[in-house]
Amino acid sequence: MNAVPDTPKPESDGAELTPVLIAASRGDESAWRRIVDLYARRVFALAQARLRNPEVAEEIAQSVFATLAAKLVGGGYTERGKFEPWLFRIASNRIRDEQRRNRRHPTTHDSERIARTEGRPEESVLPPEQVTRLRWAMGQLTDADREVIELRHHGQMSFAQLAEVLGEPLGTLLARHHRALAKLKGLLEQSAQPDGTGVRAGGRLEA
Amino acid sequence: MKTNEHEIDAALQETDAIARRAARLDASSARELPGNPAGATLEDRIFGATRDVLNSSFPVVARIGPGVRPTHWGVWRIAAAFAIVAGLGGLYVSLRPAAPTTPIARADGSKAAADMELVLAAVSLLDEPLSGNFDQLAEDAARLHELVTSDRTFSTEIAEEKTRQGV
Repeated sequence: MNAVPDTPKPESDGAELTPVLIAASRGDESAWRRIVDLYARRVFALAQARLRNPEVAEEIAQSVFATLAAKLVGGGYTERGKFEPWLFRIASNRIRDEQRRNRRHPTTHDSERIARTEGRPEESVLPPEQVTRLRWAMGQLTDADREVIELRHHGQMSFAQLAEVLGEPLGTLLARHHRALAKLKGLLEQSAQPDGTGVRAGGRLEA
Repeated sequence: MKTNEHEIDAALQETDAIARRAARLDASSARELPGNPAGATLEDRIFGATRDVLNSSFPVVARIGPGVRPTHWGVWRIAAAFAIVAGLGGLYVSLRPAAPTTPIARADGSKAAADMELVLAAVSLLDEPLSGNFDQLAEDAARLHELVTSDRTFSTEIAEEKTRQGV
């Protein structure tokens, strides 16, 4: 099983990645494999956080990488030195499209997905109850707040990169992140209270 | 992870850590499919599905994923419906009877009355010189009829006429 992403991250915005990108754009499969290894799981995690469906999240990730390959080969990648923000902008847009589609044709039940993934050894990092509470709390955030937190942790992006992806000044982004995290903390505390606002069966919580 | 470039508020660090662990959880939920011909790991499958794009002379924008889902066919169906309606509309416009280029003269009541008066005046003008000779005309017609239908000869007729005139 592949390592869960605490995998070392390349200096992806620096010059180190540039030769890899150039080689990949010339059809070098080993360079392309390296890019896939570095970023596939992060893109997948971002999609999975939003969509709660591993199959669809994988489809999204594949689609993002297909776009990426086509752009690299076709000369569509022009943002030298800003590869990660570019990649995650594509991923975010693709995920948003999928979310819109899901709102029109809902097919997935979050609680089912959580139940299906519970019990895996690597998931012992968080107790299942806490996972459920966190999912609920994240669901209470606005899309904008949620996006900051997810891009940062699932996408493993720096604040500077986040500012690039979201098109906001760094100071604004830091304030927004702080506010989003404070909201998340309040929601988690609320969900942990023993007066009936705790976890309900099926992973649903009462607000 | 490049997350330590800006310090997180101490009171929020625990929440931040929970979110980070949840991210790991999500990343680990990718399917592991040993023996799958498309690849056992997420990375294998993505690499396998995209390597051809890299070597393609004609880059493919997206081979799989939401781009080919039925929802998008719905959009195409709507676009096709619009195209059909527009085509039929154009066909109708091109085939319909041409509109008259000059307006049809509308009946003018006063002009019609004036025309009628003119006709009546012309008829009465023609009638006037004839009206006094109707009797003479009738008499001539009767004489002609008698002449044609009688067995008298032309010479007899002349003689009778001379006698009547006292010649």
